[in-house]
Amino acid sequence: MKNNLSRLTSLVAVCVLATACATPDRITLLPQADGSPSAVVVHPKAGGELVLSAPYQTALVTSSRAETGSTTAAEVETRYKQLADALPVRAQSFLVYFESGSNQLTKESETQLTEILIAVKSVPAPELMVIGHTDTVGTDVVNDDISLKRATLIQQKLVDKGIDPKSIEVVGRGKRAPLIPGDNLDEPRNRRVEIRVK
Amino acid sequence: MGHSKFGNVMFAAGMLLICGQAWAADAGIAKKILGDVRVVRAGTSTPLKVGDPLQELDRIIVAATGSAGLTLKDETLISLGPNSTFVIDSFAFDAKTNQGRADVSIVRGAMRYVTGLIAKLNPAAVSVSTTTVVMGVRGTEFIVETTDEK
Repeated sequence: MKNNLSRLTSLVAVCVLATACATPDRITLLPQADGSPSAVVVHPKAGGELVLSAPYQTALVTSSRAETGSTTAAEVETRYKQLADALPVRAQSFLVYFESGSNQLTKESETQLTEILIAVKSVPAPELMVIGHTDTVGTDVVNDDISLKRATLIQQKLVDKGIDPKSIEVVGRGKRAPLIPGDNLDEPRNRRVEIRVK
Repeated sequence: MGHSKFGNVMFAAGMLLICGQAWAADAGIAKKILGDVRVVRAGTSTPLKVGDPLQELDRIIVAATGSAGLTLKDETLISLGPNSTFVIDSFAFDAKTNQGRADVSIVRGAMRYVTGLIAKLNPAAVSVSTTTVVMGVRGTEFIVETTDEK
């Protein structure tokens, strides 16, 4: 007993002297919102590598030690409640389509615009990214131009509905991100404008 | 002669505009602020409010009773707990290609981080650091807690 106590005392002394007992950095991998697998690779500056690849795995790292461990959803909830509360909401995505060969939106898409207005009102300091897309027929130069024109048209509609133009950014991504993959495809579902509200 | 002078002025104004925009390109925005949260930019500390833009090299300091929610332009989500210090070390994002770079540090306190569009396309272009570790991501949501008492 006495022996243990003296060992403890000397351990405390070592901790006071050395940085090895400093509060470790604690990294906790959380599950993905959509349930897909994910990982974080932790590189201690002292060297080595730890990979966290399962939800609620943890890494504890000091300048001289690194080890993995695990925690639970309940523990994360209590320990990091303020972080959960302060996290901004994820971007909401809306898709609108044009009537074939026209600048006229489909009826469903007009309804989407109303939903976008509701979404915009629900977030603090709302930002909108209006992203035009084309099908995969033609060159990047042509498709970039078409997609930007489509996006600009939607931007105007949103401004007409009362959304602050300063909160809207417009981009034409051309054929870089088709929903239906395949080159040189005349596909109406790819000719769309995505509005992301965040 | 007068014409050329005018041309020079226009050129200078144009350069100023271009450089000014490059310099001031926003990296993100403050979305949720609770309590005392400040941003240190070019040596000057000012209170950070909801809707305020964030820039590369900004240092965000959250007091003992505060918390902050931030988004970066590529839809990265960040929350900072009480007693936190956070830095945007580098940020660039091209919305057309979704290419860019996002390096941030949490010097002190706790941060929750949800990767955005840059990481989706190129995870190697995203890093999160503390004074003891550098983290790489693979489509990830995670929490980092650190202290400056090393």
